[in-house]
Amino acid sequence: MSNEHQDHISGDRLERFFLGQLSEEETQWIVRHLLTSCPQCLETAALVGRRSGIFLLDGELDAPEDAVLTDTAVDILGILQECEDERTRRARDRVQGAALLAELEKTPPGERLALIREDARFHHRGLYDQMLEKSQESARNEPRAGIELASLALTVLDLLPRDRYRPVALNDLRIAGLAALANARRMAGFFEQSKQAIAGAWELLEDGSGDPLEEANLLSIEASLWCDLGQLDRSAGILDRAIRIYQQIGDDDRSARMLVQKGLVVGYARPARGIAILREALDLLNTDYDPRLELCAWHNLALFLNDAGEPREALAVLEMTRPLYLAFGDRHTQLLLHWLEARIACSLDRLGEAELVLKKVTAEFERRGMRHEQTIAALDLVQVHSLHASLH
Amino acid sequence: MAEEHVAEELLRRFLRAEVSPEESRRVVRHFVAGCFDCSELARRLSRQLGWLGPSSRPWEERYEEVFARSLAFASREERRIALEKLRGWGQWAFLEPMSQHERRALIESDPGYHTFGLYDRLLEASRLAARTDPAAASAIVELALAVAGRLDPGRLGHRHIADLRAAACGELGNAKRLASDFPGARRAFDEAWRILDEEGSDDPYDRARLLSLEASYLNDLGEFETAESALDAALLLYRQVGDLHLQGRTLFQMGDAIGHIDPDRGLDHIRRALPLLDPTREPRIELCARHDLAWYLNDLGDPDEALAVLEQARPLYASFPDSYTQLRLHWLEGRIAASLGQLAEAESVFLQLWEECRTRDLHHELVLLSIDLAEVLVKRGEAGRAAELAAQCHPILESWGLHRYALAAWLFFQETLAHRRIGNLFQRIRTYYRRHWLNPVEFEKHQTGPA
Repeated sequence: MSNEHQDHISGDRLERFFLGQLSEEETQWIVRHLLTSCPQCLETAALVGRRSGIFLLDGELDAPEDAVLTDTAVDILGILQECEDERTRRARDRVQGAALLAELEKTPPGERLALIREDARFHHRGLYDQMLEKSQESARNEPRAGIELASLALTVLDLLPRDRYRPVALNDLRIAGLAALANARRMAGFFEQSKQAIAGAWELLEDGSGDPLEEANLLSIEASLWCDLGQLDRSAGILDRAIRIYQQIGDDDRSARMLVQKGLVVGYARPARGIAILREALDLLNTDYDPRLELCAWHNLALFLNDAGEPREALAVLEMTRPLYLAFGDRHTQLLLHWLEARIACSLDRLGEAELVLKKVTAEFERRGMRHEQTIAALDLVQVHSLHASLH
Repeated sequence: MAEEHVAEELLRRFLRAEVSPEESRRVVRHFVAGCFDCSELARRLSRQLGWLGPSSRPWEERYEEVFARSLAFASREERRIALEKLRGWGQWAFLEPMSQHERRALIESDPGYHTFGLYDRLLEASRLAARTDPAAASAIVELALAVAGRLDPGRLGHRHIADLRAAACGELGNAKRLASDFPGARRAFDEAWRILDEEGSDDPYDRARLLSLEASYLNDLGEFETAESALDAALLLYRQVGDLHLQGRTLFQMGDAIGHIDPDRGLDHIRRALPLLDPTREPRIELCARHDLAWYLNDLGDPDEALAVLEQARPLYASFPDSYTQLRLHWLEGRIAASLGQLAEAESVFLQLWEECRTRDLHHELVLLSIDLAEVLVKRGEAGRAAELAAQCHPILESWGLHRYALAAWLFFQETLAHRRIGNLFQRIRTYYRRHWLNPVEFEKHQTGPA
């Protein structure tokens, strides 16, 4: 968090706050700071609010400036209190959602749809949020379960009480749901169906609130799809659009995320370009936000340095990042580390070691059903064998 | 980013390329964040070092150079060690399929295995195995010890090698603790202290690390206060060397040790830990600290604040999708729901977790979760169901071979639920199973009664 957070809030940041362009964490901090009735920030907020037309009420133009500011500050406090209450409600909803999801998961998969339709307790926003989150999580290991969850979440959305939500809000929720469905379908290899979900989301986006975050999220998912389909330039172009959106709203964290994604898309074919993009991303990364993203950026930087014929630099980056690999400690992260080590060993002509590690890594990918990774690692192994053969 | 400025001494070393990779990474990250003060300091030091004169190139170019150098090794020695580590994993891949006897014989007979790189990677392999197969982890650390005993004193120095042997003994103690071999763990820790005291270089990091591992062992034995004291000694050592992150880590460990029996004190430690922790060094510790913060706030009767902490930590939980972390998240959600009076929801979450703990043989967690679930059922006016749950658990507990007092305590719990004489039973039985899970002590029946 910036030093500004420890003192007062700038007018520029408040303007972005009113426009809903800040991250959830920053928004929450600003709300809490203003709720402490900090006079300086409330006054700035009142000025910014009036300047941007958010708090200009009927008859205010005739009132004395000071009085208007005081009234506006009170209005801001009221609105913020409502925001804070809403945030608490959402948090409680999510806890309830976790319980409802636990109950739903006890039911056999084939009966879940009927249960959701019949039991009004499941027509719940918190459940919807939890299902989308879980669908992303499941999609990594069990893609079909991810699809099922995203589809069921959309059913939950259809059944939410209409009188409690504005149509525009429901529209935005549906866009997020379709994006999650598209992503789960992509990860399961159902590319055409993924395209359909993305197309549906784009249609809704035109009728929705125009939330730039939803648009950028959708662009990111579409870029992943084109990347999987081998259309790397198209994917990179789409990511550029997402990056522009995040840059416009000043969201460095998400810009960095998109840059990392673009670095990966570009770097496999053009490692030098990938290196440049990843360095740009690392400059922007706020590691408080997502340490795994940071690891991903450093890991691929090392990978591309190696591919670009700089194995010593790759090894230096790997050494520098080693504590972070170990800090995560999960088997998947360790596998990626060892795979990278084997590739660097190969580039450094340490073929015996590279071969031993690659054999182990390939076997582990096979055991875990990670077919794509297994294939690529097996190709690396073939390369090592052929280098061995050419030496003897 | 809220982080300390780069110390002048560190920056001097950085500019002379004399820093460790970790230090280098920290400095680069700090500069990348655009710290004006440190840029000024760097400019001044660069002038002193003769880098920047009146006709010098712009600072940005020099910065690029420093950045580029951070992607290279600072010294030949560093590069040699990196290559050894690279080779070490290949050596381990070769050794792994062999029997322990064969591994040991090869290590003893082949000087190619007597490297720091292999030693380091064996410790890494043992830490990875410790989570799923602690016995295998112990065997791997024993190989690391064998390697350490054969390292070249001419190159590394006797005292440094002694430090490495002591560190391996500490890791062996930890692996044995995880394998529930507590006497074996004690012996390994004692040996580590002996080596450090008699032969070591008196490096405060080594002593503090050993204290930290020993505290985990004491914690498992329910000696929370002793663990807290040991960690206090480690904290002092980390203060002496000025390592803020490790001070934060130690404070977190202190909070984690004491907080479940004294949430107030736990909360205090955790609140002091959080500003010191560097999430880039150990993101999981950051998550664990936030998790404990929410847990203790809830225990202290502030579920709304706990919920706010939980909400903020959600992205971090998402960075750790492993099932154990997710289980802990849902457990916290269930406890907060119960405190907020959402009893049906809490029951639902606890029931799901109960099944998961049972399937995954998480014995201690299952017992504590059963107590939470029983408490929710009682609050819902279903003490009969709570008693049934306790009765259902008893044969499961029996099958684990728990000590007889632990089983007797459970029967007492079951009976008390059945007779609706509950009082402050839940908190007391929870504390009992936290403190005496392994340590056979009788549950103090005489203190139980309506509150």
